[in-house]
Amino acid sequence: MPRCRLALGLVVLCVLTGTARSQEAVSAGSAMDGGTQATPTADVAPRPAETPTLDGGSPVAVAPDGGTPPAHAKPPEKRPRPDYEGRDPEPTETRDALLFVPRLLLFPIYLVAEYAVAEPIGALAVSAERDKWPKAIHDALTFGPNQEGGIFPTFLIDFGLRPSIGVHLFWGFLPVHNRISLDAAWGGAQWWTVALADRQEFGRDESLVTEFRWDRRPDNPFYGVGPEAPNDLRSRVGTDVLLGSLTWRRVLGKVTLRAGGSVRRLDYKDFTCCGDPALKQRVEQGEVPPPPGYEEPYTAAGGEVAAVLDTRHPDSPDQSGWRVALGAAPAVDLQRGGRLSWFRYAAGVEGNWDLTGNGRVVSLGVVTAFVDPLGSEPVPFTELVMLGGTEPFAGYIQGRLRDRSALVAQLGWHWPVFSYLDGLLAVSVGNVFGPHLQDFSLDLLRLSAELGLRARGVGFSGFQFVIGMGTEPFRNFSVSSFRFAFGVSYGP
Amino acid sequence: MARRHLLVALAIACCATPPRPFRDQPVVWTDDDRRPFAPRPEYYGSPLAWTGAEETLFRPLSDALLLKQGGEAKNANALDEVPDSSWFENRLSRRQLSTEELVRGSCTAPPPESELPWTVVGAKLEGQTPGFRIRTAKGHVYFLEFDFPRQPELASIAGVFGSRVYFAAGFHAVCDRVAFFRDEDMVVPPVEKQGGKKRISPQEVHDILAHAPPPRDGKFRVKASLLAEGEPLGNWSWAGVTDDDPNDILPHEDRRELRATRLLTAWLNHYDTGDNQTLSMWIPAGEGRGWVRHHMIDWNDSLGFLWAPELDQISRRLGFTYYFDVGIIGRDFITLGTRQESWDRAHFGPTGETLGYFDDAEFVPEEWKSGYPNPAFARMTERDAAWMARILARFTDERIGLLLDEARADTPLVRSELLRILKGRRDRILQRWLVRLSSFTDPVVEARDGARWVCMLDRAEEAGMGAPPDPWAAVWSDSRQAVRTALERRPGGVCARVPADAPDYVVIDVYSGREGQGPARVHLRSGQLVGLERPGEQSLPPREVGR
Repeated sequence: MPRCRLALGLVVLCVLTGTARSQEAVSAGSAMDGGTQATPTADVAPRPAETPTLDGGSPVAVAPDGGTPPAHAKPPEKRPRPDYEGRDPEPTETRDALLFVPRLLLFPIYLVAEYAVAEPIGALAVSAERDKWPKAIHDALTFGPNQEGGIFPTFLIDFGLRPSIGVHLFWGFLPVHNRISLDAAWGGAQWWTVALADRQEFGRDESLVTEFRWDRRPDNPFYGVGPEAPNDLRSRVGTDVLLGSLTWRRVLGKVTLRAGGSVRRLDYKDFTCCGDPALKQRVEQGEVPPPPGYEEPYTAAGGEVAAVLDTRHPDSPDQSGWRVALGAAPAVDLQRGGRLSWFRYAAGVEGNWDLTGNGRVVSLGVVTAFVDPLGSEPVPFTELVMLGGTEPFAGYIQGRLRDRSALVAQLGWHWPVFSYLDGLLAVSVGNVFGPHLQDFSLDLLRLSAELGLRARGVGFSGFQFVIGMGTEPFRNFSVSSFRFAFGVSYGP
Repeated sequence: MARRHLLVALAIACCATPPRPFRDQPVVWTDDDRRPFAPRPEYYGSPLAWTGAEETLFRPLSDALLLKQGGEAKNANALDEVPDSSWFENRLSRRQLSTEELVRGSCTAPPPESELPWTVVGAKLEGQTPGFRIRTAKGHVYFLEFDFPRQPELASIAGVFGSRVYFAAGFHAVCDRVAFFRDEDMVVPPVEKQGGKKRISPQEVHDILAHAPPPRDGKFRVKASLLAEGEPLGNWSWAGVTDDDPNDILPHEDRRELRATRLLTAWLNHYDTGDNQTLSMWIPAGEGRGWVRHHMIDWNDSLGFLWAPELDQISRRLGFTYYFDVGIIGRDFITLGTRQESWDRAHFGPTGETLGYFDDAEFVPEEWKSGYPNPAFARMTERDAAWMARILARFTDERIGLLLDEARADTPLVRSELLRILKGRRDRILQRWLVRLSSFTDPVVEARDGARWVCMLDRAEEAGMGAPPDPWAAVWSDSRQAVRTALERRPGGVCARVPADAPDYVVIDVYSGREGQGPARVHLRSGQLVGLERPGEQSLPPREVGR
């Protein structure tokens, strides 16, 4: 669709008048089915072969079959414009003339936005819609009647970690209430995620999810273990994780039960990333002590049970209510047996008060988590309780804080920003501690604050936009962590 | 009152601009854009997804980078009206419609129920409402669409009501009717005997009927849209011109009638108003030539249509925000939820889900938004809106009731609620746009008692907003001064006297006396009416002269 010719005179005209788009010609696109009346070509008499003419002119070239001339035939000239108003136009004001300069300055940006971005995207989108590419792709990837499927992009930008892009594909087999999903994401060299999941629904309130997942990452941050792990000794740990899991979920009124089992294989890799030294390098140089389980791959088989009581209804405008969650997850290394085994357990309670009855909510919650070794060997550092990357400590990067236990309290304010999109402003106080919070101290608490957007109630998808900050422990209080994250992901 | 006139005029005297004269030529009441031409334009089907993305993101970005300025519509004539064309025909704008004309709308064919049996000829699979195409016993082809069980009657009421409103306002609206039929009134031939690209099996017809609201007294209720005259050319766009139509010379977003449609869409909460709600029809004129008539179609989303229950958060925002509204997202994010929005207060009325969130309590006409930005609506000026407000003023309570009857709003509570809401929304629109610029209209020059008088009707008075409280008039003696002249009231309007010593070209400002309302500025040349404009600013203070 030509919008504004690049001839200098017309460039100037467009800039002067800002009329580039107003002169755009509507494309004589291909046949598409539009609204109610746009399709009934069979119900009207077919257009007879004719000798086309220009308006008032002589006949133009006729196609060999005597029908319409080809599409590239020159369209007839436009009629002259009537003098509708019957008087001279308003004089150009000084303001209009002065706009010439900023228009000229912005014109290169306009050219890029229009011809390098909008035009190609538009042409692609029009072709895809006209030629039904989504349906073709869907048909190629599905079979049988009553299928549904889709493909969505995923991405995550989280400063401090590698940005990643990916796709989420799903196929739904409606008659048997089954859904298969495939996630693939890439974040640069040595960064891959591939996950295949099957979700079987047994009615609205019960499901069983089987998942196989491979994660390879070079950018896992490690700052040390303990509540005072410093900010300036960050290193990276390369890992390869293979996971197979089976998770059963059942909703009983306000209570959601979850139980499952998994086998997880973790290998350490000599990857480097992100301008930080590898953990191995820091250990070899004596900068940090080797954390528990350092360089010892393991294959952990475990189970999990969890129960969540949530008195809120997701579709209700009023979001007041309580949320209480309990969970426990034992695990054992299949090679070392009981020697290397651990037990993870956590509890949390959150109260929500909707101040207006339409989603403006003050929340106050406390969560605590523990992991204890069951055998003679310590819990690997990759299985310690971690804070960071998610609530309630979203002001910190993922994996920033690790130790045997954690205690966090969060005060939050949620409000609706758009359909199914909520704003979140939250402040959290807490930290990780030794076994069973044994070295808990008020001056070891840290502060995390976040401002962001979260998707609400849109099924499997998760959208996040977070700006956050975190501090050192109160005894050496200072702001030491900044976080920005923006991404979309989908669950099985 | 004279002192107030003086004070107001003094306050802005420095900024008043002299009137621009009109040429001595007939007022353009017909735009000759129905000249036959050849070849026929190519079919254009609006790409739904791209149109949404373009109007939401790319066009606003493009306009912002070009610092595109608004401007007045390009096709307003010398009397600030819109000529008849392939887009619009003056109906309520220039005359009253009889009851018969109003309820008939564009429907020239007999009702489909009078032409039984119907034969199903194909499917209608697009759009929100399921349905199929039928041919009546007399050969008329209709698109049938069923209401949703969740909102019984609404889609059909909205379709018919919208069709009649748009027709009465002056647009080429397709003929929508409510029809009732029994199962046995319809013949479904085998698929292989149907024509067209979209065929429908008897089983599919059965499935559609099974999911439609249950029949009442054994009859299904359906909205029947008559196939418009001519040969379909697909959609027309709300922006730009059609390259291969030599009659199409004005960018659509600069056509007053398209810009001002915003008031009608806001009135009905017709949020789904994009390229896909338009229809171009090729009108053959013989020898392979023809011209294009531009229609409006599809009002099913009006009057409170709800999306699926799980999408309630979208439903309550319809009319208040775009589908994706960066401005609202930014505002609500920055204000941290301290601001209560109109849609937070939206609730179902006494009809429950039937009329959804359609109401007038939170309706602010200036803030109404369609589903995604409409390029013509974005360029609507005060004059464009005032023009449509003058048309809307003629949708009296009685006429609204007649149209609801035609739309078969048979449930008493639904009808009474629709009437109340439509009246409320109409009144808010008129309060905003009918009385800011002059509501005087239909100027005529009369000669009586040895003098010439310019007489006009007051559309605001006709709409029940009261007679002009303190009308007065002034004649511009030169480019900077105006002299008061005699004015007399008459039923429904006023007349201002043209001074005997007035020059050949004379300009008369007529004020209603309403607070803040501008004048109707009438231009006369050699005693003949040559122009009317409605400036927003007041004139210079007039000198008193004897009457």
